[in-house]
Amino acid sequence: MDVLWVWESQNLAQRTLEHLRMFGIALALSVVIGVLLGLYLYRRPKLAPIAFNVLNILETVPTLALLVLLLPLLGLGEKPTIAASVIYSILPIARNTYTGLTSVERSYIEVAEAIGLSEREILIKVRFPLALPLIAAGVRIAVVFTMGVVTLGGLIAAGGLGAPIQTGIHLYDRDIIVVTGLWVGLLALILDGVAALIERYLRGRYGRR
Amino acid sequence: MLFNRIDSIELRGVTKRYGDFVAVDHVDLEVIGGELLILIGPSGSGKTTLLRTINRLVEPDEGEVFINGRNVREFDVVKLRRSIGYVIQQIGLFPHMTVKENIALLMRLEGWDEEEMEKRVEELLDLVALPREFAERYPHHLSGGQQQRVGLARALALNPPLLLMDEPFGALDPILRRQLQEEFARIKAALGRTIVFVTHDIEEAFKLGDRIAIMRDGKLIQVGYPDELVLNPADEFVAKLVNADKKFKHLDTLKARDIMIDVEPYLVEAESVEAVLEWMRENDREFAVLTKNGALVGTVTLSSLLKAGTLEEAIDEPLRLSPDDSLASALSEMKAKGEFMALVVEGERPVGVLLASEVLLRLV
Ligand SMILES: Nc1ncnc2c1ncn2[C@@H]1O[C@H](COP(=O)(O)OP(=O)(O)OP(=O)(O)O)[C@@H](O)[C@H]1O
Ligand SMILES: [Mg+2]
Repeated sequence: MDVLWVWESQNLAQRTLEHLRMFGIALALSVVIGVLLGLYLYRRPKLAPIAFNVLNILETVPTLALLVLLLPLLGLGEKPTIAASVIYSILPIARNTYTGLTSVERSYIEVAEAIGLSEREILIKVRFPLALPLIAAGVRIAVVFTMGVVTLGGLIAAGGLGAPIQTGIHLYDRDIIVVTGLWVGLLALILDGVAALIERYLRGRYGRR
Repeated sequence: MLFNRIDSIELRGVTKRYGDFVAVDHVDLEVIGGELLILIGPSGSGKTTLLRTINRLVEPDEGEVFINGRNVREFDVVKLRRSIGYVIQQIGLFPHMTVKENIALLMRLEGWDEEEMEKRVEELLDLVALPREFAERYPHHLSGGQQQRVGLARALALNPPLLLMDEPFGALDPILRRQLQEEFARIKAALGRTIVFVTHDIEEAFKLGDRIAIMRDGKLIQVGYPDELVLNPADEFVAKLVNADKKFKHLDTLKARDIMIDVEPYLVEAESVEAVLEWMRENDREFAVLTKNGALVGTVTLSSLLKAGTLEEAIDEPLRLSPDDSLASALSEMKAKGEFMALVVEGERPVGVLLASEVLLRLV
């Protein structure tokens, strides 16, 4: 098996950059939307069950089906891929944000009220920091989801590392499939590892003891 | 600050119900500006509930609370609470903030500048006898007593003229509790604030209180200066509570061994400052009795260890008693030497710690 040949001929360096770019955009959007949604639901808890039900249903749509459903709206390529990643990733991030904010130990909130923090200040100074470890755990789940969806995006011409896998399947070239597949797997492991480290740091820094 | 000084706090007919249960029952009470008023009573008698009506953590169903003649309901609740320091038993330091961040939290929210905050935090750490290096530590690296001190510093941060303290020493072991009471009694005058202080320890009440208000079943039974309560108790319940003396009626026949507390939890064999500090951290103590091969060497406190270079410098020579010393003579000796604590030894072996209580000291 000629790793170097595959790397050169399939332009894997370039593909990796494309891949990480899509991954980065998708994850950033997911974090922003997920955290904001979690915050919003914390302010309007009556809506939470409905919102989470809807997100749960979306979660059960198979990735390929979701990509296909998005095609008429967003065309081929990056856009539907990123959109699908975000749709999957909102749930774990929003749910963990919501749970994190609502499950802060009652005694801390009571003390904060007693010494004269306003509702808003309690959210910013107490609830949010104490929810960070849980939010990070949600983001970590999203990292894995996003990696998977972005790779599948190769099927709908999104570029990235899905593209060479796609080529490999067409050409029936085992080497391309295996090398690219392993590389994607390794990248996923590394990113998850980084996310795990960040989560651990936040747990140490903001976790409850 | 809504007020710079407290002239009076008046509770009029304050009542709080939880369902059919009356937690506080038509309480009329005046707190005089500048005094330390104790609220004392059995568990569930409504002390905490009553205390919390002052900063509106509890809104009474009936009755009103006035500070300097103004109904507390007229005030913005956040401003009101920032003008009132609040210290509780469970301490409630925020685990994600350092000691400094905890203390400075309200200053930051009030928009103080960095330099002012820095200065004030150091001032407060000095006041509560914590080394300044502690500013950067997280609460879980501190012992219970140290956390309690930080809690007090945080309550004092904005210099509130009124302090509410709900069993601030209640969760500490008996010796540490006495240490902190001593310290608090010392800084009380320097604080010069109006304080409402909840406890169910009558000795603490006598030690720290100017006046004492006694509660039972949600009702205020009697309020007055200690001697009034002792000389003219309103009823049998008050008499029993304040006349703990009766328990010690046979003072002459009691011996040191009868009321000493077990020394075992405080015993440590160690050769270095670090080793003792480590032991204190693990066991959450601020006081230790050092021994060598079972024989008493001396006593050390956390604060003396933190100041000392070597273990020898930190060691105090405690007053020694024998288990068969009569309580009366033991107490008069302690009183004469101004010690609140003595070690009971059998030969060279420590067997107990005798804590002089206010009640006992008044008897000799
Ligand atoms: N939020 C609440 N809901 C229902 N009952 C309550 C509530 N808060 C207090 N109580 C009840 O009111 C009574 C008085 O409570 P409170 O906490 O004021 O007593 P306390 O004198 O401070 O007791 P302790 O010494 O144990 O702290 C208790 O029986 C308690 O169970
Ligand atoms: Mg209480």
